[in-house]
Amino acid sequence: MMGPDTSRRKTIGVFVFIMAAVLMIVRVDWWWWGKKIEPLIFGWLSYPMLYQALIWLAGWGLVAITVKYLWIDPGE
Amino acid sequence: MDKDVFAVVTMLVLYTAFIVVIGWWSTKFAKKSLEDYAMASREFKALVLFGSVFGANISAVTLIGIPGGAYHRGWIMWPYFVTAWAWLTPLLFYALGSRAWVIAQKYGYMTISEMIGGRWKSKPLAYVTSVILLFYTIPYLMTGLQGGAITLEVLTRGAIPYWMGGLIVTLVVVYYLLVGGMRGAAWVNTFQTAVFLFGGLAIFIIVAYVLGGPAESTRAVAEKYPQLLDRSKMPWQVFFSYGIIVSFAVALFPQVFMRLLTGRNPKSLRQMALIYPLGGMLIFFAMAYVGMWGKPIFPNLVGAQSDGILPMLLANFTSPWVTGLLGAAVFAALMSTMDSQLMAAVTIIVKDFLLKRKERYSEEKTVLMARLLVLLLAGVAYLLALGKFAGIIRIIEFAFAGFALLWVPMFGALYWQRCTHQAALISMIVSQAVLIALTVGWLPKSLCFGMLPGVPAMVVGFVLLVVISYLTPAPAAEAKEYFKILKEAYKGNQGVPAASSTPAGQPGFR
Repeated sequence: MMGPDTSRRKTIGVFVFIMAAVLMIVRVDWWWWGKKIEPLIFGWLSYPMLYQALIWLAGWGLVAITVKYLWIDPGE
Repeated sequence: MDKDVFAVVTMLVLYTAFIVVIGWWSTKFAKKSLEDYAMASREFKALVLFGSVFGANISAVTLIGIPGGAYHRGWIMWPYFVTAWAWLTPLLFYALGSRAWVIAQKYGYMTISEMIGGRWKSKPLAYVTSVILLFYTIPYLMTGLQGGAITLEVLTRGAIPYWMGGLIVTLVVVYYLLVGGMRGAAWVNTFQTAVFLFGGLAIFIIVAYVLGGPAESTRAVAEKYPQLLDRSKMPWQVFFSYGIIVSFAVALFPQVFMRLLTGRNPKSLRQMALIYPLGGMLIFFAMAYVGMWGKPIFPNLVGAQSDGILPMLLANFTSPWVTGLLGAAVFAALMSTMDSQLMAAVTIIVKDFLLKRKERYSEEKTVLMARLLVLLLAGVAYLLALGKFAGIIRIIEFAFAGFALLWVPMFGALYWQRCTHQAALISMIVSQAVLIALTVGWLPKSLCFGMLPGVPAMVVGFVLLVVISYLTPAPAAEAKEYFKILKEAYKGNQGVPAASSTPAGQPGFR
């Protein structure tokens, strides 16, 4: 499944794999877990909530990278 | 029937009638073959594919189970799913879907069992996979009926009792599946996905507004139930392990896997994967806060009773017409999953069991058998749903782990040439046995290290896959055909591989 830009795709693939593993680990924000934290904005959203939203955003970025650089169609 | 209940029922009936019309309209494009009935001739483009896959994925779990779970565990219920599943599953669609699509085009495969069994031409492997898939699909299907029945009962204030609500949902889904098959289900799902996405956001905004806004609602929770904000009701080990379970499970839901294969080309899969995380975030975020904010309003719900929190909020704080309209969004979510689960279960039975027999059936007779099975399975799921064995989240935590464990043989089938069929079979059976033993208590819970049982079971499965592969003779050349096909397909000079003339699912199983 390798094209002419094989090594570049391989590097990106390794990056996506490592980042996915890192995100799966750091999504558990154990340093805030079980602690009472006051809302930060709108009297509603707190640091842990915003942090979780950032994890989601970073994950979506990995999907975008995968779709743009890794996911090739047969014959491409 | 009082006028409020009449208004709710009227809106739901109108919605249901519209769904039935879409199902009927889709029959004008039908062809008389199992390939068309179960896979819509593999011709979906990106938007229909997204509606179809996302609709098959978002179920009673989301619009009933998540608010119900957040009622007991707090806002953490949205990251519980979204900060892993919403982005990791599309990555796994890439890892699985791009390869599986090529293989399925070549052999005419429709099911996970065919994909795994076909790699080693092993009938036992295919049968065991099918049995496992059916074992977990039926309880998952049951949760849709539970969600529908609870919603109808609460929204109509008991005028439509639980048993009747479940029956109505069953009949509607069965109708449009019987007439429309996969094409009908996918068209309906595309519409229903839009309905529950916008409906879910509308529910969030309306509930936040009637409760005094997000800040006021959160303050009420903080005063009386601070544990819902500090996440002490959810051990971090469970949070961590469920992220793995739910992300791996979704790509191997039979109904989702089948739909990954219905794209016209892999480009449809790519576009679908890109919009998937956004849809996931929107709906789960909204539903978790609605459930948590409902706690101070209805504080005394116990166990699975909290699954009724969303319809209770709607019924008590919105006008009956709005309640009916938003209730339709709940139905959209659960029916769009139930139809595809039924279709997947039927396809598994027809392709993996009935068509493997020596006698040959005409295409028309095969479709007839599929339709009869839709009726039978829907009836079984309905009878099981009447038992209300557990809350929706509890049921799916178990079922999802069962699906996730199928990554063990699937990894061997699509990624590892040295993997042997003995290793795939034994690792699959043992990991499933470990999951069940840990769940029901035959093995001590301490072996889970605080995590959900699916994670240690998956570790056991992968270790066995590797160890047994190296202890058994390397597979013969015929068991490496997949890799030859994939290599040729992506070489750059072959274009999209043409579907083989080999009868679907018959590449010479032994």
